[in-house]
Amino acid sequence: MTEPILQIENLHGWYDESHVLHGVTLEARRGETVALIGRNGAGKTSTLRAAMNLLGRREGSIRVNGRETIGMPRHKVAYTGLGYVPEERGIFASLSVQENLMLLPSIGENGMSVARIYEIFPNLRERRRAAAGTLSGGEQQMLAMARVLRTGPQLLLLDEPTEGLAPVIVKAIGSLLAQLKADGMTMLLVEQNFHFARRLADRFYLIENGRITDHFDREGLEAHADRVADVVGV
Amino acid sequence: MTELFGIPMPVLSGQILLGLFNGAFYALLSLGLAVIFGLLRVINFAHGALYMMGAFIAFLLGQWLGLPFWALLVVAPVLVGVFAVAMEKLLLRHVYGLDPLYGLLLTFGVALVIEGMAQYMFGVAGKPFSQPQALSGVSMIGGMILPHYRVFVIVVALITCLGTWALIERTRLGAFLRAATENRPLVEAFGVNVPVLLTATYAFGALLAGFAGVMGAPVFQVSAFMGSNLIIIVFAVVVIGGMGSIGGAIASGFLLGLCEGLTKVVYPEAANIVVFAIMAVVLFFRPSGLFGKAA
Ligand SMILES: Nc1ncnc2c1ncn2[C@@H]1O[C@H](COP(=O)(O)OP(=O)(O)OP(=O)(O)O)[C@@H](O)[C@H]1O
Ligand SMILES: [Mg+2]
Repeated sequence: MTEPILQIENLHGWYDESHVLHGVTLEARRGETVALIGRNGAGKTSTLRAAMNLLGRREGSIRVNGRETIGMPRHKVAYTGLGYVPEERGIFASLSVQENLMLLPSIGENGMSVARIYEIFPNLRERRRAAAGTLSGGEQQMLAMARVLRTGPQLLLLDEPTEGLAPVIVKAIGSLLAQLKADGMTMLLVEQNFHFARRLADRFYLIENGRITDHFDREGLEAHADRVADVVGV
Repeated sequence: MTELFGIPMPVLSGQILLGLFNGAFYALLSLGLAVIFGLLRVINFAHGALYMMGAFIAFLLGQWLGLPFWALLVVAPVLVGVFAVAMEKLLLRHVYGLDPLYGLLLTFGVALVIEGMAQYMFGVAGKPFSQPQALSGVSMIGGMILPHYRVFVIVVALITCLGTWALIERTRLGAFLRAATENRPLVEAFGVNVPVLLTATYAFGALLAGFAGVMGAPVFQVSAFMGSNLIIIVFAVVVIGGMGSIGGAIASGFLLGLCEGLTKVVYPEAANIVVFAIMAVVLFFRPSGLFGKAA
């Protein structure tokens, strides 16, 4: 139960010449929801991109399900069990909604069925033939999540899933993630919306200038209130 | 009716057929260029040389092994595809992500080498290559002369183009291709073997060029520079259709062949430049091409 499904150790990352991650260390255990919190430009997105081998250069160690993914070809990384929901959603605009949904290769046994997905996201069913580029921001976010849930991941990497969305949609996403968590999904959640993150997360990491500067669990939240306020500006 | 706008029907229909026949080659070649450019972002200057290679391989295999036309139509394009796989893996792969000029220069260099070798081995004179016996006839329908081989090429090219269009627009494999055209790294991160997809796409485009080369062999002369003459028009066709647009490449290929054919009837002096004139006009009013999306 306590073996970490994701273990990042002393991770350094670069975009071309610019060194943006300076030794990130964090882990997520099976069934845990871990929030990564930090200011704009702190390196949250870069950390997730590094985990997907989408950063130019990486050093250190990223183990998923016990397998080292640094040095692994990019197209093999997802098969360690990762489901990635990028910050910019990464919807393929010229493909239909249904094509986006069916595009990703399955990576695990327990993928969500399309019927179940359409039950959870009736909007996507209605618009399944439309070009995905015509979806609203909220619908695109739903699609970005739905398509990775179909592949059967063990660990979700969620980059600001509520960014720029209306309160009702934020609420819907919140209850979906809570449901996934109750079903045992492991999640690494990047959020600027701390009120959203605190309801879901079991543990918190603070990231500043490409380094983890603090971490604590739910119980430690009160004690770290100042640090959190400092970082997320609440 | 024997005349239309004062032009005898047989002349008109003959030029329409000839226009569509040339258009078949424009369409097959510009389709390959568009598919390659869409995914690889490489302007494949070797395309004309690959076309010529298809014709020469067919010529040689016909001479050495006596293979019938139908077998050559399959074997020669596949060999061109195999050559393209090697070319992509050994050379082209290294220029991805660099300035597009590198891909252009690289493929241009490869074209010069292929054409130079063909010229060295076979000289400059065209090689004869006969039509398949079964298609050598001519039919008359309502005063229209229909050479069987030309009709065959038009129909086969049309089927090949529509099949390719369906493959890209209607299948999951095509969806990988379209998605990778939009965002290659992300498709790869989702677990699709994009390097193999790139190789396959280049080989497929080359295979189409080789296929066109075999079909052109009986009609155009098989010679080292048969491709470089044609490819200049094809680049104009691609520009008119819109770079990277699959349907646009097919439609503008046939349409421009037709325009050329009709110009030959109406004002023969302009037939050689009409495609470039249309290109200039299209670029002026729609820089992204007739079917291209505005950038
Ligand atoms: N494509 C890029 N090329 C070069 N530098 C980049 C690139 N993307 C991000 N950076 C830099 O890397 C650093 C970390 O950025 P990152 O996107 O990881 O931050 P973030 O914590 O996700 O911020 P935000 O809350 O704004 O999403 C920043 O200094 C940023 O300017
Ligand atoms: Mg970010």
